[in-house]
Amino acid sequence: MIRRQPARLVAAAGVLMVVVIWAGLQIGIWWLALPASFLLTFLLAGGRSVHTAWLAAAAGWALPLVLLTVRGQAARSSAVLSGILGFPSLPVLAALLTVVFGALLGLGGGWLGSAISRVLWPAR
Amino acid sequence: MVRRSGALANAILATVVCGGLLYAGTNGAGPLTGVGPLLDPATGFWTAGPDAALPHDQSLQLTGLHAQASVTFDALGVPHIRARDDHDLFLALGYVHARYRLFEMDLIRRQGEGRLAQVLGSKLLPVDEFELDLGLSRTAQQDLKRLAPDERAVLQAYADGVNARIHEAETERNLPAFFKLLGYEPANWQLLDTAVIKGIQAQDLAYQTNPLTNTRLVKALGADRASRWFPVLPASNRDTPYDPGPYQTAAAAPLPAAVVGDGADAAAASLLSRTAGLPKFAAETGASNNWAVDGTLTASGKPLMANDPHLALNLPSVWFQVDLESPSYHVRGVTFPGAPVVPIGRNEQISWGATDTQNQATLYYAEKTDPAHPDQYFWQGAWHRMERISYDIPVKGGSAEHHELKLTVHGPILTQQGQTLAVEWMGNVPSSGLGSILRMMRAGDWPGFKAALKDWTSPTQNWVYADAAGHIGIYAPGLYPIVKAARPDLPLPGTGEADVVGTVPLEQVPQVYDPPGHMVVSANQRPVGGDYPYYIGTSQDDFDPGYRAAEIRTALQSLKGPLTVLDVQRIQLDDRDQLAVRVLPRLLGAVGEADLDPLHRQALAEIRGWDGVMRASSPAASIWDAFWREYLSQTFQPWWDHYRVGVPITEVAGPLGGALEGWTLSGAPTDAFSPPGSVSATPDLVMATAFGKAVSSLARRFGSRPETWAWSRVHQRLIASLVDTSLSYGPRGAGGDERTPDAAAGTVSTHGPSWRMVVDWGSGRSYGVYPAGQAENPVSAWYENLVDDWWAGRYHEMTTAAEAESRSGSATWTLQP
Repeated sequence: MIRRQPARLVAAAGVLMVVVIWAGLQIGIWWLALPASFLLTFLLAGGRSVHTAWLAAAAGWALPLVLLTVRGQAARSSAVLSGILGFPSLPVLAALLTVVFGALLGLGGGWLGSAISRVLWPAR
Repeated sequence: MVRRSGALANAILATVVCGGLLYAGTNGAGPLTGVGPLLDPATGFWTAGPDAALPHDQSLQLTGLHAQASVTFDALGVPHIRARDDHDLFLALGYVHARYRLFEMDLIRRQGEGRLAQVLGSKLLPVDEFELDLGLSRTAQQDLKRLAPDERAVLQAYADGVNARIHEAETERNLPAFFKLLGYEPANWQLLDTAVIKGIQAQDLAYQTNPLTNTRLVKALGADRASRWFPVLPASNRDTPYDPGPYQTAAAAPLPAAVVGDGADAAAASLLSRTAGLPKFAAETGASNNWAVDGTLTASGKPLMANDPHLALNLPSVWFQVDLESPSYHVRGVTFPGAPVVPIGRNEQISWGATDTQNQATLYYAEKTDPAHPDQYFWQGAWHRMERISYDIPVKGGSAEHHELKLTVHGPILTQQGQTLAVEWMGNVPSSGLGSILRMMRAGDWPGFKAALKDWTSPTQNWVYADAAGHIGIYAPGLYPIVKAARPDLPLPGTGEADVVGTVPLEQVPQVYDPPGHMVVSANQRPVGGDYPYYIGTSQDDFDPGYRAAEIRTALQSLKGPLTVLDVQRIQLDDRDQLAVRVLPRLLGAVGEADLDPLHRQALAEIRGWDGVMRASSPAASIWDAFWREYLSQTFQPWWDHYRVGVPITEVAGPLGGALEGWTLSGAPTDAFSPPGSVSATPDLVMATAFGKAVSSLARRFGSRPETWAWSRVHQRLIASLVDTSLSYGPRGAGGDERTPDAAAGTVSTHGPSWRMVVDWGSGRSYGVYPAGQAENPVSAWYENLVDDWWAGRYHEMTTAAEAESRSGSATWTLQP
C-alpha cells in the first residue's frame, strides 16, 4: 500500500529541486541532481515522485540551455560539442544529450530513493 | 518475504545504476573529461557560447595597470591597444592574448616544457621525453638571465596580464571550453613560459635532423654518390642568392670525404624514428617568402615590402594580429600567442618580416664511450663523467614517469642505439632573442634595425627590411657554427677534434642593403653564392631548391610598369611552378606524339601550351605533378631498391628534384639513369616512360577524360584544428604546390602562407590576412572568419586604433587600474 503525497507538495518539491539543481550547476556541482532526486523520492515516496524527480532534474539542466538559447549562444555550441563527441555537428544533438544526462541523474537518484524507501518502510 | 527480496534487489540495482552514472559522469574517455563536468550547462563546455560573445563598449578593471588603457577591437577582431606607458601596453596585451588564445598558449608551453602527457595521457610521453631531453626549458631559464631589466619588465607585465585573465576566468568559471573538454585548469603564466614559447618556434624552424638523414643516405648510396646527388651547391640554387658577394675571404674548402659505419646508421635510424612523431605547432617544412623593392620600381616612388611565412596552417592560428601603441612602441603586425613581441610587422618608420634561413644549426656528435667507463665519454684526451638530469613526468590517468637524461659537453644525448649521439643545437645557446625583437620594434632605420638584431642567435632568419626613407635590405644574423676539419652534415666525432670553433662573424652573415637591382628576395633558398667563405649547409634539406625565389624574381622583373600593392599581392598568390616552366619544353620534346594512344595524346595536348601555373582548375597541373613524381620514381626507385635506402624518396624529393632538373636540362653526365641491374637509359626515355605511367595512373583514378582532371581533385589544403578534426577547415581543393610562391606542399597540404603582409611606404598603408581568426573558441564568430578572405586572396588593411574606431563594427574596452 503506497501512501500518496499531496500533489501540491510533490509539485512544490519538484520546483524546489529545479532551483537547487540549477544553482548547483552554476558552481559546477553537476551531480547534485542525483542526491536531490534521491531525497525527493526517499522523503516523498510514491511513483509520482519518481517522475517528478527526473522531470525536475531535466528541467534544472535544461534551464541554463534555455537561457543560452534566448541569448543566441546555444545552437553553435551544441553543434561544435556534437562534432567533438563524434556525432554529426547538428545544433540539437549535444543539447539533447545534456538534458537526457540530467534526466538520467534525476531518474537514477529518484529510483534509488524510492527503492531504499521501500526496503526500509515496506508498508509506506 | 518475496516482496522484501524484490525490493532489496531493486535497491541494489538502483545503486549500481547510480554508481554507473556517477562513474561515467566523472571519468572520461581518453584525454576527455567525464560527461558530467563536460555537459554541465552552466560551467561545462557550454560556456563556449557566452565566451564567444563579441566585445562591446565597456569598462573593465585590470589589476596592475598604472593608468587607464584601452583596447579597440575592429570588426575582424584585431585589438588596437593603447596605453600610457610600456608596462600597461604589455599588461593589456597579455590580458588580450589570454582572453582569446589561452588554451593554445598553454598547449604550446606544455610541449616545450614536456608536460603534454599530464593533460593528454601517456601517448604523449615520448614527446615530453624528447622535449625534456632537448632542453627548451633549460635554455629558457638561461635566456631569462640575459634579458635587460627593461626587457624582463616587459615579460613580467605580459605575464601579469595573462594571469589577470586566468584568475578572472577561474573566478567566473568561464575558462576556455577546451580546458573543460580536457578537465584541467591552467597554471599561472611565468616568464619562463614566454621564453619556452620562443624556444618552440626555434625548434620548429631550426632543429634539424638532416645530418641523420644524410647518414642513412651516405651509408646506403655511398659517400661519392650521395655528395653528387645532394651537393652543397645545387644547380637550381646558383642564380638566386640575395647576397651573391663579393666576400671578404676565400671560398670555403670542399667537405672532406665521408665514412659512415653500421653503428652510425643504426643511431640515425633510431633518432629519426624518435623525432618523427613530434607535433608541429609552427613549421612542418621550412618555407616562406619575403621581398622588398625600392622606389625606383614602384608607382609611389617608395618601397614595397612583402612577407608570407609558410608555417603550419592551424585553427587557432600560430599568429595573433595586434596594433600596439605606447610612448615607446607603435607597432602593427602579428604576435605568437604567449610572447609579447611582433616578429613580423611595422612601426611608423620601418617594416620587417622573416623567412627561415635554414642554414645548418644542428650538429650531432658521436661520443666515444666504453663499457669499462660507464656513464663517461672520452673528450680532449680524457674520460669525463656525463651530467645527469632526472625528471618526473606527470601522466594523466597514471603514475608519474621517471625520466633521466645524460649530457656531454656537446649537449644532451638523444640516443644510445648503435652509437651514443649527442646534439649540439644552436637553439640551445642562451640568448636575449625576445629582447632583440623588442628593440627591432622600436628601431627607426637600417643601422638601428641591425643593432637590434646583433644578438639574435636562433632560429636564423632572413629579416627583410624596408623603410619610409626609401631603403630596403635583408639581414640574416644568427649562429652559423664553424667546425674544424670534419663533415658537419654527418654526425661528428665527439672526442674534441671536431668541436665548434666559432661562428660566422656578424659582419659576414648573409645580408644585402639597397642593392643595384633594386630588389631583395628570400624564399629559403641558399642566401649566398658558391664562393661564400663558410660552410653553412647542403642542399639536402638545409635550403630550398630555389624555385620560389626564382619565380618571385621573375614575376617582379616581368611586370610591365611600376609596381603597386596589387602587383605584390598577386605575387604572394602566384601559383606558377618554375620547375614545370623549365622542364615542360624538354618533356614535350621527349614524348613522341605519334606513338601515343588517344588518351595519352589528349593528355599531352593538355600540357602543351600550359603556362606552368598550378591552378586549382587546371588538368595540366595534375598531369605535370603526376609526371614529375613518376619521373623521380622511375629515376631513383631502382637505386633505392637496390641499395635498400632507409629514407623514403618523398622525404628528399626536393633536393633530388633539383639534381634531376640539372641533369635533364643540362645534359650533364650522370649515372642516375643507369641504375644497377638495369639497362642504361636517357633522360628522354625515362621522361617518356614516366609520362605514360602518370597519365595511365590518372586515368585509372579519375576516368579517361583528361580535361576533367582538375588539380583540385588531386590537391587540397587542410587547416587543421589543434584539438579535434571536427573543428578543422577543409580539406578543400586548392592550387599551388611546394615550388610555388603560394606554397602548398603535399596532396593534402597542411602548411603554407600563414600570414600574408604587404607594406606600402608610398601611402604608409599596410595590408594583411591569415587563414584562421583571432579567437580559439570554435563557437566564436572570430574563429575562422578570415579563412575565406585568405583563400580568395583578399587582404585587410592593418589600421591604427584611430582608424579602427572610426569604422563600423568596432568596440572598445576601457581598462581601468
